[in-house]
Amino acid sequence: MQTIQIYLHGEDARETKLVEVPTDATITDIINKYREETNMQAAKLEEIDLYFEDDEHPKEKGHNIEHAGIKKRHHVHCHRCQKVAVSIEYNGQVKIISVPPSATGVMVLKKSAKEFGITEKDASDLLLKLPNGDVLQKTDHIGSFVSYPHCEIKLLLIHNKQIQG
Amino acid sequence: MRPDMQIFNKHVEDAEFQIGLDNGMWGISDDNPERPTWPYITIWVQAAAKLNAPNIYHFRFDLNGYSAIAPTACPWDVTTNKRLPDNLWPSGKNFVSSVFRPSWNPNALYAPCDRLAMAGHGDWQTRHPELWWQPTFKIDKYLHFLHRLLNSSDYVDS
Repeated sequence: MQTIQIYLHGEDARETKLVEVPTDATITDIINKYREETNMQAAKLEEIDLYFEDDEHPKEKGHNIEHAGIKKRHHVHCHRCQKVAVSIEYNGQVKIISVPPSATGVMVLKKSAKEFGITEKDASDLLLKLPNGDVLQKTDHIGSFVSYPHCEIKLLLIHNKQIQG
Repeated sequence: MRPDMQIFNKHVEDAEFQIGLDNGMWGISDDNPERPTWPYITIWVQAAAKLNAPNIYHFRFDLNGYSAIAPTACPWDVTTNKRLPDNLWPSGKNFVSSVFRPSWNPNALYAPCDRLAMAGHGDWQTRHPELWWQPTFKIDKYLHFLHRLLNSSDYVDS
């Protein structure tokens, strides 16, 4: 049986998995793999959708890997939230943006900066902090920090601090 | 195999490190699986385009006791296999130069995830908790930090 490696991101699952799936697997098979890998068996299959990175359209569950366009080391995200409401606080102001669960830290930072009228260049000196104080890294998927049915998260947009002391 | 090397090898196989590798953000400069130079491993980190500056910097990490003990690193010249001369260290106008400070210590970075810098800077644990090295951290935490610095406008515009 031929297999390919894919990155599997998922709902409220901070640790991304690099998994092997058969080349003839369907989207449903991948979702089931995600349920096994992340102890999400209690979540109903029909409630979970699979998204490509930074893409807001869920993939057709009956399609196989080739038909869906999944390539080696492709990033896929399985989540029950179709959209995530991201509340961003910057300089005392709060704005809310809506992104797919597969939105990367790069995409969320770009959209946040745009909302606050910050140029892309200036945004490279900013970072987004998660509710627990960790940094939302460029390669993180926002859905990995969001649970269903809440489908929302609060982030702080702050300047990179000088290390002093 | 030493336990610290075993943990490091596991961490570089994990998705977090591999994603950075696939995205061209970092990689191991001399990826000999035998790790003959252990506990010293040189890792490159991609940097934004800047006049008269390289597009990657190499860092020699001392990973002795990883990951229970924090790593320490300094910019490295892989052609001479020596520390990068002070004048070639990455620089910025503000926060970047606060980390790359050879005048403070030519063998380490002034960062809350760097073993040599952590000593004597206990207050960083509350000021920079997200960077203060924990035994549960993986090497990508340090690398994301470096990558962010080397791709900031603070670095590019200096």
